[in-house]
Amino acid sequence: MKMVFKFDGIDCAVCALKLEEKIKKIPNVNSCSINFLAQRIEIDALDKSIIDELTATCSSFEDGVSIKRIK
Amino acid sequence: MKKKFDFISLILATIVTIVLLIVHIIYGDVSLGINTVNNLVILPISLLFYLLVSYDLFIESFKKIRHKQFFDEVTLSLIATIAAFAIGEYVEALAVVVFFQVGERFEKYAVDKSRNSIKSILDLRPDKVTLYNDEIEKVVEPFDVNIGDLFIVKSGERVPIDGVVIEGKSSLDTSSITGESVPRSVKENDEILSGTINIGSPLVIKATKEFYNSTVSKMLDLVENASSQKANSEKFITKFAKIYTPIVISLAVLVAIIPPLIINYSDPSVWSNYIRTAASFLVISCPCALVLSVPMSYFVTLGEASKQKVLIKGSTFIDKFTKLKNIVLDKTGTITKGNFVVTSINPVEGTSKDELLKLAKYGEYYSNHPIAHAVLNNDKESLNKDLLKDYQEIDGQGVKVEYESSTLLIGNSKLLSSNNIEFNKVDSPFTILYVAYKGKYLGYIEIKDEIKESSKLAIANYHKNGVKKVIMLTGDNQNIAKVIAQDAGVDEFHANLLPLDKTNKLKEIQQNATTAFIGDGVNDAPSLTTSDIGISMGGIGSDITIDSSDVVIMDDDLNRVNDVIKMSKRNKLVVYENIIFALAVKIGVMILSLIPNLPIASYIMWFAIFADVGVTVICVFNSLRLALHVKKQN
Repeated sequence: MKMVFKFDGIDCAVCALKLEEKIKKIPNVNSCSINFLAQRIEIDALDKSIIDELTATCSSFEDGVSIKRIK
Repeated sequence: MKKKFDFISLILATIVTIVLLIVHIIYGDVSLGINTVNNLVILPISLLFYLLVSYDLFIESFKKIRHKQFFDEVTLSLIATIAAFAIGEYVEALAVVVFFQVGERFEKYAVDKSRNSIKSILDLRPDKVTLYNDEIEKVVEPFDVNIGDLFIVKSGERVPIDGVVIEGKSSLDTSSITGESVPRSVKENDEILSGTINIGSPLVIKATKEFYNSTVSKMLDLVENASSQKANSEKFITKFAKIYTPIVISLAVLVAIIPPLIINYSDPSVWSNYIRTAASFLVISCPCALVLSVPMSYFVTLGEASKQKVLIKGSTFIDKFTKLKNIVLDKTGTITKGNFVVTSINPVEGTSKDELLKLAKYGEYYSNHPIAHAVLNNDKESLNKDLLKDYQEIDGQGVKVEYESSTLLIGNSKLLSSNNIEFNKVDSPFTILYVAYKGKYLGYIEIKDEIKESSKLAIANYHKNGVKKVIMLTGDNQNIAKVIAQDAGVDEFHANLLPLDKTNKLKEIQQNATTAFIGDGVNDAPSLTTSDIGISMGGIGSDITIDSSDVVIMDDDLNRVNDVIKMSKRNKLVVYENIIFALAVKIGVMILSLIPNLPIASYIMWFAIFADVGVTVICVFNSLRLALHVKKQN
């Protein structure tokens, strides 16, 4: 299923690419694309169960990235 | 307060750095007692400011190392500065951190600016809905509204969700959704679109869609969706960024160790020369310039297009616009206005024009066809519908109705022939309505779909913008098609096409060249999805439109496509400029730093700082330029 999140807390484009790589490594995540400027994370994953690990991955990234699901 | 202090201290640090550089160049090697100016004056001042400026960078770096990110740009820069101190390049060490910080400020400014360009469209996103179930107001998030819920939209508020008016009368400003500047008045049972603004009295509305299926949400999605439709150059940069840093770090390590071992490992000055080179490599090791500036130019272009009422589904379509060779247009509603008008009334002798038109109006009274609207011209009230009986529509022919107890026929030549009425067939490039009453032919009415004023100019400009062929497709007959085609100035047209024929024709046309299809979206969904770029216009209210289009033009001006072609070409130029400039400078400085005994060798760190921060700032501002350009045009 496709999910879209808004994020807050990344202030460099290269960092966003790094987070993208980390999210791609979460089990059951098929693909992930981060748009740094639009502050959007798009994920294609097996089901909603990845959200917990996604939230954990994001909040432990650098100073903590908060995410909010918008779709 | 902290920000201001931060800003001032950064300016101060920059000035100190420049002064120290000058002092270093002129007096660096002058002796002061037993030591040099370099060690006695420059070292302590540099170190002091270095610590002040890099303090938070060290904290950041430690945090990242704790998170197992060892090759972060901050950490790498700091390693480079420590190396610089070690080999006596104090001012350079200070300069690396100062300019790193200065660069970050500029980048942040640019990021904010670029986000602004898309902000005007994002402002359409509602953040709350005032529910009005059981006549109690309750504020909730748009996500929490179900189909069938009632909600209130007060004066000045934006409609958050598509719905139908249950209570109230008001006017809506629909300009941000349809580009139509005249307010639309609404009353009970009228359907309304989210994104419009209530400019009259409060309305109670019943939600007919969930938030994420509402017009405004879909529009935003279209624009924001850009990340899943990345352009090739964006994909290239992402791949490039992944390998660039590791390669440069490896080179830095090799450069620091191997040449001194080969040349003369017992000479400290050889070591210091190559450590300087390695430190320069580390300074250049961030791909920031490209990773930020390339997506930024696409982002700004998407944002600026949305300001021009053009919503584009992703960066990849911006690239496609630069390669556009064919534009295929639907006729009715795209090239033409889509509202038919009566152009001439031609009664036979003994019948007046008014009589003929009156009969025609009665004949079309119950019809919903666009042609009927043209004949009726909003004048139903003067007609007495009680005079009509036995209304029937005959497929592909017209209407048969009893008017004042006699048969009235109105339609094409087939209708009259099949009713055995004698008449003269008219050869005309327009739609002809024949009228017969009481078994006698009374005359014909000529109806024309007008070409939009903007169409001719727009089509002429397509050619100027590099489009090779403009082709019109229509379901109408050859005669009608020919007149419009000549008038509009298209290169080629195909008439008598059913919707499926249109799609097949389109496939044929786009076999060899990038092709855009422009249609009104409602009947053209298959063609919109088939084409390389599916552009719909003026049909924003319908569900299919946004889903099947790659580009949505919110108003109905064909010239918008020219604006987008121009923007896309400018974008392409900026992206190429940035990629070539950034790579040339970075690689150039790396090569320079490897050439032994160059006169500028001792200043190579400065070149490296420019190749990192300087290039990033220049590229990013080059991307931002795309926003300025559009402003100037208007």
